[in-house]
Amino acid sequence: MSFDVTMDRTMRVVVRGLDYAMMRQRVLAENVANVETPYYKRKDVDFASAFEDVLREKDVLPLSTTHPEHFADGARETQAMGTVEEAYAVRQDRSGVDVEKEMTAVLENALYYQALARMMSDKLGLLRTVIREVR
Amino acid sequence: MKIFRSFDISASALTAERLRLSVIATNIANAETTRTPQGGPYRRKEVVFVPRENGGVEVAAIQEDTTTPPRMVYDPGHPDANSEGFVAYPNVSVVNEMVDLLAATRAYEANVAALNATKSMLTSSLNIGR
Amino acid sequence: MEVSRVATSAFSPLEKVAPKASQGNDFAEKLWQALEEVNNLQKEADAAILDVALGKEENLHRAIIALERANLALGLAVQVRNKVIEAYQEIMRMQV
Repeated sequence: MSFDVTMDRTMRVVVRGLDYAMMRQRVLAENVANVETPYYKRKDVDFASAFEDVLREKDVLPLSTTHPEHFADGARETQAMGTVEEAYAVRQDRSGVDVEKEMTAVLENALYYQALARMMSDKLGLLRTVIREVR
Repeated sequence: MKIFRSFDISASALTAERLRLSVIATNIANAETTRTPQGGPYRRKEVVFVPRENGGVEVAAIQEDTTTPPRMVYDPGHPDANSEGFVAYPNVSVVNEMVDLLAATRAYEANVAALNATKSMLTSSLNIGR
Repeated sequence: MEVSRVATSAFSPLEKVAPKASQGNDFAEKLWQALEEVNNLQKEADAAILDVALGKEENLHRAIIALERANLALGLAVQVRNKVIEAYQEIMRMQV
């Protein structure tokens, strides 16, 4: 039996999205830091691979093991998110970083994070409504 | 991501305008260059913008202006003077370039404004119901 | 006499309503429909969240509005439920 009501499939995808945004922020910061580095190749986090495993699993209630011979529920924690390197281009000093593109990506990423965080808190609020308000 | 398409559009314009700015800067810097590896004076370069397929703009090419003739200045003592004593200076008009520079800067700023507007729209959409 | 009058006024409307139940006018049926709607709004909100997280949604505000609708509908349903239960308990406590 589990009282953990927060981890349905949607939630897991949202959590993975937040993980992705956090990791991407680090990678983007590295890109921005290397704007002036000759021959630097810009890096990015592979969006599709971040969600691969959470999308594969079906929306089932977590299995509880009440008997030693029950199968344990498959572990589904973090998965290594692949970073991809992009061939350099654009700049005359042979750095692969395009500042405008990079700053836009930073902004996008921050907004993506904010959107997911907002949705997460709304979903939690829903559950909280049910727990607190139903008398 | 589809939510951020407007960002990508503005960003493509920013990149394109910055490239335009650096081409203009090259033109101004080479306004007096009379000797180039391919022979003759420097030729003024210009960027060609084309719309991108999925929205936005990109630079299709950086083309040399071969129609405007070079400025001929009488200066027999110049090492690059021809037999009649004329030196071929680049077909760059610094005044025109300055005007272009201003236009490119304004276009860049306009795109930054568009980007900021998109950002504030998305941020306020996150505050719906709060 | 008083009691019987209360009883008739309380039960006769029910008898009148009963044949209409098949037409969907029954209160219970209405409530059930409303709850179904709350559930559907939840599903819509979940789908919207997934669309945003996976980058399929084009308009962020749609997802946020879907969430907010689901949230308000659920809150309202919970309050209505509480009131119904309260009324029921009130009736149960009533001295006959």
